[in-house]
Amino acid sequence: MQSKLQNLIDLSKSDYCDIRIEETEVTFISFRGKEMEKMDRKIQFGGCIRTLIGSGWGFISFNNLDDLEKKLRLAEEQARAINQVKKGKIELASGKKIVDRVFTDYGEDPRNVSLKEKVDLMEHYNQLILKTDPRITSTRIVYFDKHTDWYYANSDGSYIYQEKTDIGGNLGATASDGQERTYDSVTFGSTNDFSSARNHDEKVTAAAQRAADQLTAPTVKGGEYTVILDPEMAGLFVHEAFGHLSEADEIYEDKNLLSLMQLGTRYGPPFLNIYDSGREWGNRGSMKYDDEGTPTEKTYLIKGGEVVGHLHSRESAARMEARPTGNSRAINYRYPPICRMRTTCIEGGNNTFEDMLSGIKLGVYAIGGIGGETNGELFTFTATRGQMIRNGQLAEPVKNVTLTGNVFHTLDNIDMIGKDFSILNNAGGCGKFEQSPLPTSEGSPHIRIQNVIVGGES
Amino acid sequence: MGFFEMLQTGEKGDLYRKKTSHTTVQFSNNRLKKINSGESNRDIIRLIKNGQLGLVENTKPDNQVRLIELAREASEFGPRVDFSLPGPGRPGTPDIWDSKLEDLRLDDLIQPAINFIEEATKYHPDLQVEISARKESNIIELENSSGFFGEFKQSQVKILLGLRLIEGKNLLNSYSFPYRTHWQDINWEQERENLLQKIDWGRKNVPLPPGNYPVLFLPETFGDILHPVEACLNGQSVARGLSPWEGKLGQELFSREISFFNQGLLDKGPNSKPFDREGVSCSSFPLIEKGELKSYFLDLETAETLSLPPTGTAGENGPEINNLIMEPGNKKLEEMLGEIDEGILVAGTMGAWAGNPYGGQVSGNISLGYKIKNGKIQGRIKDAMFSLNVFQALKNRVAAIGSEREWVENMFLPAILIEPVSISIKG
Repeated sequence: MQSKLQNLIDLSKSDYCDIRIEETEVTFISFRGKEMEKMDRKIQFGGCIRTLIGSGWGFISFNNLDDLEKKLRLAEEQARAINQVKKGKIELASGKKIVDRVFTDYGEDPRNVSLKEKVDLMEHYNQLILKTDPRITSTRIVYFDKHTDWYYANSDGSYIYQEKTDIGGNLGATASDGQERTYDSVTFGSTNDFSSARNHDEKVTAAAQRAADQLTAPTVKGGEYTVILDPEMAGLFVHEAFGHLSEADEIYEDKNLLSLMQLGTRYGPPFLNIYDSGREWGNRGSMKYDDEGTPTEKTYLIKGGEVVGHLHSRESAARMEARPTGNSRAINYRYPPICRMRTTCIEGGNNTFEDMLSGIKLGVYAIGGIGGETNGELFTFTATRGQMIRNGQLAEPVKNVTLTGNVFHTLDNIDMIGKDFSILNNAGGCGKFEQSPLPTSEGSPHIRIQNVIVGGES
Repeated sequence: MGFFEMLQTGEKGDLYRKKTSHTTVQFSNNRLKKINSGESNRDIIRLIKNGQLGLVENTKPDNQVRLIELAREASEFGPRVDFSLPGPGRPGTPDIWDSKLEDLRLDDLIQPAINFIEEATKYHPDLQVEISARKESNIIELENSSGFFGEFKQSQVKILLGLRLIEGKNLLNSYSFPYRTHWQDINWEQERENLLQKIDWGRKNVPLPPGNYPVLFLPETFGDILHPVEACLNGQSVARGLSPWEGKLGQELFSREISFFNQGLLDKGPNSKPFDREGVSCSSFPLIEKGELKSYFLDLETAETLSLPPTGTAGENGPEINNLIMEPGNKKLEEMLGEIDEGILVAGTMGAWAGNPYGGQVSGNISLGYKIKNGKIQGRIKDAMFSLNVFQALKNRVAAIGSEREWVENMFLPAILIEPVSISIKG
């Protein structure tokens, strides 16, 4: 493979050129209700060539490795077409030559676990959920594992082979009383260990029970509250609300966003630290090299309440006079790499959960994250469940807790950060443009935020 | 040896092949940024053995022997299925192939976008325009062990248009996603005018206290709140007992003004096709007619489970509506606006998909919304969320339905005025 890729690169007439070849095998198992839903296997084989000429990038993807030179020429033609209508020259940061072979350091290799054992384990969880409570009406069990052989070469002379593994699962329970439906789940994920899928019996039963008990909870009353986010919800918040804004390919072309995200700008309290790391080994999003062959690192985005970094590709790093951070990622060979997150975290602080409760007259505890979205200025995300806080005490459970607000004001309104940091993995992934889902994970302790809008019936 | 010759006694199945080629040009911040193209050949084998189904998807050339082995192994543990695969049929022939699309040169994709940007930035020099224009050709082939064979060509044009204007701390975005089968059906000028209008309305922020208001959803945001309706009509959620509309065929769910149809054979329908993923001919049928639940949309498996005939709406991941067509009402947009004393026009939502679809509850951020006072747009409202139950809304809160419809992906929808809708807003 090495000589095949390097010979092709030698033929290129571009300023810069890289090629990726990937072969991925996927196992996917899902259950819904009493029944198995899917038993799928996938073989995803293909590659892509990216060329840079002057101000233009060309990109072509394919399944078939025949006529690679013809494909290279087509990508060059695209790059030239851009270069003709647009003045300028794209520079790329640091072109260090890297030759490496990277193998996964496995705990338990999912390829050594039989298909039968995987199916049996998921079926076991499914049964556990179904028998937890008579109000459980359905389940959503998802398990997947992926193994990828990733080959990469570029015109700086780099050649890298990287073995990538991705494992994820969702063990979810839906409860219903005929009118309302509620949902809760346990999730897991890993880049090197099938055992992340094991030993969830107690948690699964507890989640199923919570789903059933939530049925009788009232919908939260819409309004402005002090909220405490649990680590999962806070992780979702940091990913959606701040992580996406830190993706440098969005920032460098947009002078207004650039001014909002300029190094040295203050957001949040002086004890707020946010980072994104490709080296939280074992967590989804960790890898030694990104999809441009740049080594990953731990990148601080906010330190002491001040913007100190962004998530870079080689292009964005050159544009912003920074170093590439190893955040240039693609979901697969069909897409060019763009600036993406890896494991994004709010660093642990000094407060206990009791500190956070005290002094809240009326507030909402938002627990678990179903999902979220941001458009740059605004974010919105939905919790799995909630609990009212009354006079410093946790009070009745509530449902349909959706939070929204302005990202920057909300960061400024963080007034406490917990000690209880943890990283969470799940079966989902991050979406940006048309590329979804990309494996990522999030870490955070509990955090407390003042004046957050919670949607609901008023 | 072909796939069907490799099947053993007692095995049945189908082979779905999709050959795609696409070219996409992308502009960001008013400049041509990227050109991408791709070719892909994807085979999906479904193999049913002893009543159990295994599915294998593959993009590696010359891999058939390995595929059959994997499919056989998967079927050993796969879900139990009881449906029969359709035999030879006589599917319809909607016009979904733009023969000119393949001949479009890079420059033909680039030029309309450049014109769009030139014209749009005349409105305001700081306007940032984002455009992605994609042309795609698909050749689909389906064959099964019951003797069905069919193939068709489908072209797709998918455009993303985004305008962004930042003035001070105000960030104003407006997007549209025209999606057609034929290149010449993209009306660049109309799209530009609509987007600029939304920007123009939104440059001034106005306050609005929280409360209940009449809310006018434009077709594109009406589409955002329809997700629960689609989820509950989906045969899969009905078969699994998730849909509250299980066993309610023939019952009145919504107001008599509400009718939704599935249309699979509509010429130039963004998701029209002769037959579905499983070889069942596509057709037109009512889902909800004059408020009454008429049909679910099904694939073979859910049709079998529910003892109903299949509807030609199988997708790659379970049942999928071909095109969702809503009957129009009788009010022009200006008339609907004119009738609002104090209310909101919603032109963009965010996060409205999150939550549990089977209860009908939808809440979302109003990412682009305007205050209406005495029938006139006053300015933009910010930091607001709407919350409504779309089932209740379509039952007894429909104040008016628009007479003009627009394509929103594969949905053809009017604007709708719902009253009242609960609005939370930062004070």
